Amino acid sequence: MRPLIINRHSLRWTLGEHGRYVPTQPDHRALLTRTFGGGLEGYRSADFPDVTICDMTRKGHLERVAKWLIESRQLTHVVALHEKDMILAATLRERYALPGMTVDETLPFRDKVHMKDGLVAAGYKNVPAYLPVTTAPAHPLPWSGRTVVKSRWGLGASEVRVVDDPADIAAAIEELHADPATLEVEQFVDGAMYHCDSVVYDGEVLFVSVGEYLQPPGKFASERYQGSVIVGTGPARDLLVEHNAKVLRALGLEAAVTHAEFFLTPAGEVVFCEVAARPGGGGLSEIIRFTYGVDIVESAVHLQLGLTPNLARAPGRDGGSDVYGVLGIFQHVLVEDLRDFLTRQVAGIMSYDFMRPEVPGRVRHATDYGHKLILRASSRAEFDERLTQILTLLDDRCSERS
Amino acid sequence: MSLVVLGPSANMTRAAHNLETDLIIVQPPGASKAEFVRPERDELYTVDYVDADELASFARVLRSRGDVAGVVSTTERGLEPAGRLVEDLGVAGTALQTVMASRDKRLMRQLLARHAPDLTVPCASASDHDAVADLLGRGARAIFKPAFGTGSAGVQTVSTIADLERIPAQAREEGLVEAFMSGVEVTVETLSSAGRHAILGVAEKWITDNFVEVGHVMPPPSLSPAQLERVGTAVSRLLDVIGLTDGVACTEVMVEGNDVKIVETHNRLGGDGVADLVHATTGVDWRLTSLGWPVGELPERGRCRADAAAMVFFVADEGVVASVLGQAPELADVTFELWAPSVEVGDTVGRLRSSDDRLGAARLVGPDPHTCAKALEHVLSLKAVKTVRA
Repeated sequence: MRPLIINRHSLRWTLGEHGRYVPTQPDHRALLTRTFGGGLEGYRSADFPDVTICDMTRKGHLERVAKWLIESRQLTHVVALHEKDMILAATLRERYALPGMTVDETLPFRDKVHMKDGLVAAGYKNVPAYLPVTTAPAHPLPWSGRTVVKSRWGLGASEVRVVDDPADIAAAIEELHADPATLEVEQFVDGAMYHCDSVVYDGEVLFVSVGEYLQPPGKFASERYQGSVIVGTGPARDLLVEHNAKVLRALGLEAAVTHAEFFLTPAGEVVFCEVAARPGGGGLSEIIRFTYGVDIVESAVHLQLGLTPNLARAPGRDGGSDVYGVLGIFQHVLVEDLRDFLTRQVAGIMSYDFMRPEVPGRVRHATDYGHKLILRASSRAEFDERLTQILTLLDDRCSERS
Repeated sequence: MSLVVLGPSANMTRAAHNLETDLIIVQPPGASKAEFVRPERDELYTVDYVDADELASFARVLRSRGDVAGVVSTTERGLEPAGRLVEDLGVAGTALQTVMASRDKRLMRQLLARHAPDLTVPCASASDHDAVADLLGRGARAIFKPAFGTGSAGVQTVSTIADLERIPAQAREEGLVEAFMSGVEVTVETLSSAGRHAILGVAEKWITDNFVEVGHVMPPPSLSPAQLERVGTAVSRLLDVIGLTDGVACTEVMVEGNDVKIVETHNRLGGDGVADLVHATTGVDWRLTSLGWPVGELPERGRCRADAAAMVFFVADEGVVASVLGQAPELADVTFELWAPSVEVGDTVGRLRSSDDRLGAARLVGPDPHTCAKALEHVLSLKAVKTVRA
């Protein structure tokens, strides 16, 4: 096995300490990474002697470099966990006849119109009304109420606008600075947002974790924090698990780690939002590992390498009574290491990471955190209490600093 | 605009960070330069660039970028690949033909014999016994050297055909035998621009009996101003002969009376910390100059630290290290800027065969070359690293 690993995340997150997620000798793995976003975090040349660091903002260049690596090293697999690289990885696999997800198999997990088309075609009913912008009549839309304008290819809720009046769609499109052909409009769904993180192998969902977002991801630009808490039991969980399985089956997924998002309306109805064939970011993999002892990132890498995922749950981590959640405080809120300040006063903080902003200014996407905390509580009520306690302390600190 | 830098050392990479141009650092397999990449600016590629096919395939990646302005190598190993990339991409740098004329000592001697015969010495292919016998018949001894050698590796005296035959056949195939040159050997650092050659520094060498360099003093204490001028003229003529019109070069010449003979030349800066001697005595950041010239980034001349400077290398007899002088000695009139033995007590020391077998270095600056030379001799006599027989 000689994989190409295309990495845009923190290197340690993507491949584990010293690249342990890729079980091959170090000089048999070609790492293509960047400096931004921790792309070299924990890097040691002994782990990745064959390293390429390139400008990933230039799509054509990235593709040429990836092709050069595959051809010159005769690589056998492509591993890519970032949403932006999923189609590139699939394209490379097809071009070089490598195993793994093809472009046709990947598209339903990237293009938000394509994925909803696929679900509707497969008879899955709980899809909000939607239209590609290019075919949407300016007025009237076939739904009433608010409308979401978003990128078909967006990630991290970064290219989303909500308008009250269809007449405002044009302004929203302009604000997004996007080619209309890359956008869709869909009916706004009111409800709490949940995510299902799964490991799929041989077309079967072997593992699923359900979490509830602390805030709707689309509101990141006007909020101070985001995050998620694991929903270990209950009817909502059962319902979401059922819908998640239906969605993944409808889209014909064979083997991947997935991150699907759903709304749960006040009436108790589940409505599909979107799904990706990669692990969720923003600390979700950590709270899943804390809860179940399952490493979905490692599983994602293994599945892309054609290996069987390791889903053995760590002893005592069976999604039992403890509740784990992640709280991400956006970078612009306060640029200051709060480790001592918070851990001294709040119980249950399992980990705290302070990320100094690489790009100063406003938050860019739903997981553009400056502070990431993993919180543990004995119940959801206690978790919410601790969350409130942290947010109050944060308010106090911000007031002091201002 | 980007500059491709092949195989830079850690020192060179640090120097390159002062360039405004973005860097494309190309490291050979086994190197580790990722930590030196400037975030959001530089790129890094791992390429076995001495392999022609790999280099050609990598050149296609570079060509597609469309922003490569120059290619430079700071090590001998990368000079030829850099020349190939310069030709392939049509960008600034030293052309392959010029690189080959300096890398291949046989070719350099042929060119000199044709265009500047007074600057060369008789030589013969080491595989041509008759020619070597003829050469030996004209002088008491000759020097065998690998045609593409560096760092004194493989250089040895040959007095008879029997001496030659003791050299492995493969090495003989790839070597040449030159008439022995006596005199004072100096290294000349030059910067050329549109065919005009500027001398940045001349350093006199201290060499062991088996041709390993153990010291450099800049300027050379043994040369008169007139001899220095002849050295400058000779080097300029050599650079014209090999077609080096732009960039840095490091040329070694032997001076005896009015006679100046070329020993060898390279289209890169000199090794052995000579760049630091240039910086100390001229204020020119020689490393940065050697990197930035293809893209027109030449650093401004800074302050001279001294009128003279020297590098001295620690050596010891074969054995086990028994003591290491950890600090520079107190010497009147000179200042030690570096004292860095590279071995510790208990380390094994092998025979001194090439520069790689040296045991660390010291750098000092002083008011004149003679004072620096005296200090250099003193350091050598101290035996900063002492060994005992294993």
